[in-house]
Amino acid sequence: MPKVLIVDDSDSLRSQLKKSLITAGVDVVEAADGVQGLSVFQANTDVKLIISDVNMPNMDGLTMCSKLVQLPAAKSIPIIMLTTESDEGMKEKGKAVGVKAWVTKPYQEDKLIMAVKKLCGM
Amino acid sequence: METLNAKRPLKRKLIQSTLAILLISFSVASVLVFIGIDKIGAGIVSLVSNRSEDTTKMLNEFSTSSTGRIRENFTQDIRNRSLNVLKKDSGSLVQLFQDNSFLQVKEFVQNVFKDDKDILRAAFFVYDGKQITGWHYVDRNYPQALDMGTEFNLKTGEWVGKYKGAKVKFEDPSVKDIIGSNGPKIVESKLQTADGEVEVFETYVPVYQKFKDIKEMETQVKSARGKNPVGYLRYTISLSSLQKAIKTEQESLKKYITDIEGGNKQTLKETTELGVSLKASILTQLGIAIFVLLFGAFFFVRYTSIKITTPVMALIQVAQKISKGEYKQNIDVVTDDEVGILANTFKDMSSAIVKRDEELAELNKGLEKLVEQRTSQLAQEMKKVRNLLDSMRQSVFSINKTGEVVEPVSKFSETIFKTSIAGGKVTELLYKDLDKKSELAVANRTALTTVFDEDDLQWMLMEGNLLREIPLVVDSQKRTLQVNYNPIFDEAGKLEQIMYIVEDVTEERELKRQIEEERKANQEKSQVLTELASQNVEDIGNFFANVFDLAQNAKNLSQQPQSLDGNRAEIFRALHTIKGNAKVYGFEKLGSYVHDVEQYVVGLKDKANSEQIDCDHLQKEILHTQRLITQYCDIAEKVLKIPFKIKALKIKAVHNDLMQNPELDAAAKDRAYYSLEPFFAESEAFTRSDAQWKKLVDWVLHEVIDRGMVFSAKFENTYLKNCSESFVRTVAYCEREINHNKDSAIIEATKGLPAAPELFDDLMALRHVLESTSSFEIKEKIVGLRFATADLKNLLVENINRSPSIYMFVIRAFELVNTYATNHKSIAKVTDPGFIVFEKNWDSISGKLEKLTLPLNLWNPVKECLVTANYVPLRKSLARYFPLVELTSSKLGKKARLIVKGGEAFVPNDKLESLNNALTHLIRNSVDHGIESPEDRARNGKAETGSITVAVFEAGEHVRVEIHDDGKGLSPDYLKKKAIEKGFLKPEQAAKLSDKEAIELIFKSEFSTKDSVSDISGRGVGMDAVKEIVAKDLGGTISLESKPGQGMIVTIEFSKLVHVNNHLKQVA
Repeated sequence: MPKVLIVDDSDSLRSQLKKSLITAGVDVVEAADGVQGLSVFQANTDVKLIISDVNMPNMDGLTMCSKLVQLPAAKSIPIIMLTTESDEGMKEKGKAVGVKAWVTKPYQEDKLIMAVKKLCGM
Repeated sequence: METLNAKRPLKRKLIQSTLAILLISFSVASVLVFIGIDKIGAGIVSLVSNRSEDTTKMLNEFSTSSTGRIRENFTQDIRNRSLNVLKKDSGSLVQLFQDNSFLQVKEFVQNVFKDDKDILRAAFFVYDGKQITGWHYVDRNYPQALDMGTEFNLKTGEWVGKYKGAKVKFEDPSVKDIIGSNGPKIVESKLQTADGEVEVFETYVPVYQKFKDIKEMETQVKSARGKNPVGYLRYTISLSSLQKAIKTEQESLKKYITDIEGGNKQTLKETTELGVSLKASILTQLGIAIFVLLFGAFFFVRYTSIKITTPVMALIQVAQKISKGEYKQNIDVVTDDEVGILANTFKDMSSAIVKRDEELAELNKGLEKLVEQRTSQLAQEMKKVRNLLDSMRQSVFSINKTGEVVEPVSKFSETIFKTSIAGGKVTELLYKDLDKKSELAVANRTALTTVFDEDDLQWMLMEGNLLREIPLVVDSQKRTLQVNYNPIFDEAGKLEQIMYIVEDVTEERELKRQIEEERKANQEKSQVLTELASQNVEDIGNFFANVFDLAQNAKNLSQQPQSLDGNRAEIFRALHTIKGNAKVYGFEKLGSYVHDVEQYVVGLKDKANSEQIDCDHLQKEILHTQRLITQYCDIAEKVLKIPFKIKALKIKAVHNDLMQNPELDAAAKDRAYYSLEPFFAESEAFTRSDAQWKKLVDWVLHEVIDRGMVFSAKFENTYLKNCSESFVRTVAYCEREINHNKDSAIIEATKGLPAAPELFDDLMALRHVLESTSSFEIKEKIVGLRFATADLKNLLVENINRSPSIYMFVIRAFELVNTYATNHKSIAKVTDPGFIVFEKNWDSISGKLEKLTLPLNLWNPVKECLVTANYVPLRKSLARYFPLVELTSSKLGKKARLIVKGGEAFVPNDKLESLNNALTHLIRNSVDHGIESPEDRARNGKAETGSITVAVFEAGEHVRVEIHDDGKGLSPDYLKKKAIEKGFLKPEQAAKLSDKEAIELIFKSEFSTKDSVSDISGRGVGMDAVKEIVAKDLGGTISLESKPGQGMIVTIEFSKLVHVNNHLKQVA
């Protein structure tokens, strides 16, 4: 079962997403902000995909991704970014740090699951 | 001709490499040959010298062996000779000796000595065993022989004798050997002569007695030794001739060897010389051969390479020509090697190319034609597409990454946008009238920034965010555009453009909206209808009676902006109760709407003062609430044929009619009032509690009574059951005041009552009655009819002596009740539990009444009547909570059931609604906050279905209602924590609280255990509202008991009695 890391400061979003991901046959680990996300990733290097929020306390999603790409284990891991708004600059920045797809919040569950499955090669 | 100047031509390469190989191999061969020749020379020299040495050695060996052989032959010869001589001589001697002829012996030996020059010594001597005596001794030193008698001294080994008379002495070591021998012997020895020492053979033989022959002698000598020899003959024979022969032999050999060695040396010398000259000649020839070979090789290689490169060059020229497009080439290369094959292949290739070229040319001609055809077809298609695009009633265009509109653009685009859009920005054309900050617009923008240059995955994720319906103002007209999107991906699968298909759907939408509105209205109606249909008519009546009043109250309050801040809680309570009732009756639509309004009111709490409150909005919301209620009412009236509102309107109409036409005659007035009678005969007339309505009803009643009109028994019955408590108590109050003739006090009282419009209205109504009549009897009638209330009864009894009018009221009441009771005997049921209440106080009342000399037989019917009229069994109204629990729990995904225990208790009709309001709150709280989800319950070992038990107990005039639930209960610590968080309790205070006190914190105003607002039980638990209802409306107490994890018990206790006094005190 592929493992997915969810990084979001909203407990309810995380638990909801976790529930639907587990139903879709995906293993889930969670983190509440970028700092936590990095440490959770280092404890779970078998993670196949990361779903992260952009705006978070302590460390935002894009900063986290820019730190992640420096880790050899995280180099080729696709990232799905959750955001309410994204401009051109943000998109370019994301592209440079491994963001494979952008998803707006509130997300459409079926489509997000489809994207997760595709990026996990399921 | 194009010359081919290869950097390093094949020819040169071939020559260079061949010559190099030859040169190297020759050099190596030369060196080897040189070394070889040297070795051959050395070999020959060593062979020659070895051969000469070998020859010398061989000759020397030959010489040695030949001398040996000579010597051997010689010795043999001597031996044989001497042996023969000895044999012969010894035989002769024996004879001589036996004859004793010394002289003859002497002569014999002397002759032998003389004849043979080689015999250097000759002797014959005898040995008698003691003495050796020479018969004859001669040698070269003594050639005349020694004298006879010469003896040999055995001791000294010397001969001692005389020669020519002189004494001589000389050694002869051989003698001892001779005398030992018994046969002939030859021994090599040496003899000292004048010429020096010479080699000799010493030959000797013993001479025996005569033998027949020599054979006998030999046998004799060998075997027997029997006879002693008579003497010994001895010859010493010189070997000098032998030596001479050997010497001669050796000398000749030596000479020969020397000759041979000289020849060998010469040969060696010649051989060496020959080697040197041979070396030189070989080297010279080798050099010449190398030169010749190199020279020849050069020309041969040159010839060969020219032979190879010439056809190659020719091929190259041909290839160059072919490469320039001159495919038709004659290739004259005739060679049977690989180049020949290459040339042939080239020939084939060239001809194939020529053929292909011709074919291609042929094809091209066809293709040109085809292209021409296709182009014209395409042009036609394009024209069709263009036509299609132009004839479309849609705007079709694409945008690129920068949001720019790109062709093709359909003609209709101009109609929609009223401008040419190609090259424009989509944000300025299509999205210009969007609220940029709205969530949808943001999502749309985000989608457009993320999809370009990405794959279909990103498109799939974002597609849903693109706006499907967009408002646009064109020529100051609001239009609605419907947009469909088509992604256009490039070859790499990345999004390049998005095609927009835009349609103006303004009219369509408007039509749709209207249809939708109608549909929605119908749906609402049908929803309302469904909701109404599931209730019984009486309940619906009760509901409207309640909520109209509450809504009116809220509306009135909201119209006082200056005191809105203070009224807010009151408005909230009114709305909350409306919502609660709506939920209880299953009027979901109304309930959820009022919930929203309620939340709005709660939100006002945070506003600092009334200026910040949007009063208009609040009023609008409340007005809408009223409208919704009216909508429900309308539908109910229409469908259920219950004219709730129509009747109200009728009363209003009659009222207005009468008020506006005071000059109407009495009969017309009577007719008007009588027209209302059927309505008043039904309970609905009395159950509506809004003040306006009540005022009307009360007014009509006053009028009717005032005019001395008599309504039907049905009317009386209904009236008795439903008369307004407020009216009764106001009348009682005013009556008392009237008795004290204190009109001013009434006015005074009204002044202090702005916040209680209900009472105010009642008072006004009463004033109106009192002012409009001076007949005490009418007043008496009015008051008398109110006697039905237990509290009033107490009041009247207590004050019976204080006023003759009260006395009269009581009498009158009794009479009326009596009449009533006589007419409705079937109602009288003394066994009703409610009766007990009355009975309990009966003694004091009857005791006082006795003084009034009232015939006692009147009392029982009065009692019956009172009980029936005022007290209703609680159980009936509890029934409504079954669907409430069911509905609420299923909405929350929980499982709960209601259990009712007891409930036969009778409670005053006017307290029932208050109790119901409280119960609604409490039961909803239990379902919402108490009962856990089925999963949680299962986890905690509880049955999945929670139970809520309403148990009713009675003890005298007290009623106790307990609401149990087996949910999670309340945690005292949690409540303390919340209270501290909310700031109305300090930590040190909290520490001092007992668990029970902590639980009761929940009754604090605005306390909330739940952070989010729930549709089910509103903000928090609203326990303060419940407490207020219990305390104020029921005059009772509420208490709470919680077992965390196991459940909670709320207990409400109140008296069945109505305490008018309390109200009166408040009013005062």
